[in-house]
Amino acid sequence: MKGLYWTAGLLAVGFLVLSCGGGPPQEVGESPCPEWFSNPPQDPDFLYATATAVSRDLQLALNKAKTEARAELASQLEVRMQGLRKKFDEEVGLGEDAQLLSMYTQATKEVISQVMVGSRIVKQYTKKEGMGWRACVLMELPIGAANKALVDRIKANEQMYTRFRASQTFKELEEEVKKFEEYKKQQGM
Amino acid sequence: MICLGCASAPGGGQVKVHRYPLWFLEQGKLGGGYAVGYSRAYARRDTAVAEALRDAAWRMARSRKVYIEAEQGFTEDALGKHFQGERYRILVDTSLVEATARGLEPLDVAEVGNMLIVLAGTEPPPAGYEMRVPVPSSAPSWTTKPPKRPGWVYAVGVAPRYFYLQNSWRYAEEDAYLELARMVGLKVWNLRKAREGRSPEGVQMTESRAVLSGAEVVARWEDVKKGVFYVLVRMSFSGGRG
Repeated sequence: MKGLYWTAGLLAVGFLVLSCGGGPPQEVGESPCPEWFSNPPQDPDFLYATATAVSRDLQLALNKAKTEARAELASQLEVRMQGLRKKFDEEVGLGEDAQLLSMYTQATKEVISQVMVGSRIVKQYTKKEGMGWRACVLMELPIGAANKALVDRIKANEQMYTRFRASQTFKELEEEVKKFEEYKKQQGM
Repeated sequence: MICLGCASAPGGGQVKVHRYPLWFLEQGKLGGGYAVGYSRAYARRDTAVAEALRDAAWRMARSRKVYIEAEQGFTEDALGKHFQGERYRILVDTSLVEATARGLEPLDVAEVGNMLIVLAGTEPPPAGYEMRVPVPSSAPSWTTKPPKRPGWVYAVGVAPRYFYLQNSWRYAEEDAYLELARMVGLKVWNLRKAREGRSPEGVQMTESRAVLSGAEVVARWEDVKKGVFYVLVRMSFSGGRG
């Protein structure tokens, strides 16, 4: 009888051990993102950046990945501008010292401040990972002629707003608001 | 027990596959002049319809012109990137909402789960769009690859499942509009410091301010299994319409 208990106990433990580690085996070094993540397209009219992020919240995972990709695009733009500046420096003969200085700074601290127009998601991918979510994004930024239509449209919007601010109607509104505010002050409102 | 029309949710439970009106899932195909409004399915239906109609008027005004301001902050250390918060404002001309509401009629009303949705407009929708259909089980291509069409910009917004269904759709829509604003113009500040023997540290901040004119909802999709809601929006920047 005692032997039977031992056998049953061993079988139960064996079953428990076997049932652990279920699911398909994960290859070591397997990318958590689709194939496009490691092979972004090449196009002279666009800058591309990929980024991945994890979070317990799906929206946040996507937000993190998008921001990371946009920061990468901004960095590419900055490098591109630095490249242009370097060329200019070389042309005006400021040459080597300036270049060395910028390389040294980059190694310790990278500061980016860029305004981007037209950065957009080309592909995005989300999947459950443990208790959270993983998001992978491929972002593009049109440069040069490819971005012209959008930039023109935004400029037109800005010009429209500037015209409105400069218009007689807006000035009249401002004056009326000022008067009304003074009236409210006088009335103790 | 077998639940017909159910799908397994991430937690292992069963989630009902809702049937939505076609005008809700494929709003972009209706053309201009329509808006969808959300409300909770209150016990008093007329209250819910009135609230959804007001919401539709606000959304119609928003699709004419909306001002969006959004900021996000992140820090970075050895453990990864950390979200530090965000603030945003979506401003619509309220006088336009009032004026729009006066001319809108509820063309179709649907109760989906605990949500009530209204299709508002001035003329009946094209034939067949009032049909109730289950959400397609396979993901539309735009959920992973937003469309690219000359003269248009597209953005996808996502949101998780909330108890009140309309919140999931509202947040997904809001997310898409915020993304559209970021596409139109975004300022990125990034500071990364790397010292020898220490893990890199960083601070990231993004800021966008944009006036969106003619931005509209094109399509919606619910990933029933994962509990994720997707909304596709678009905006023309060449004066054309779809």
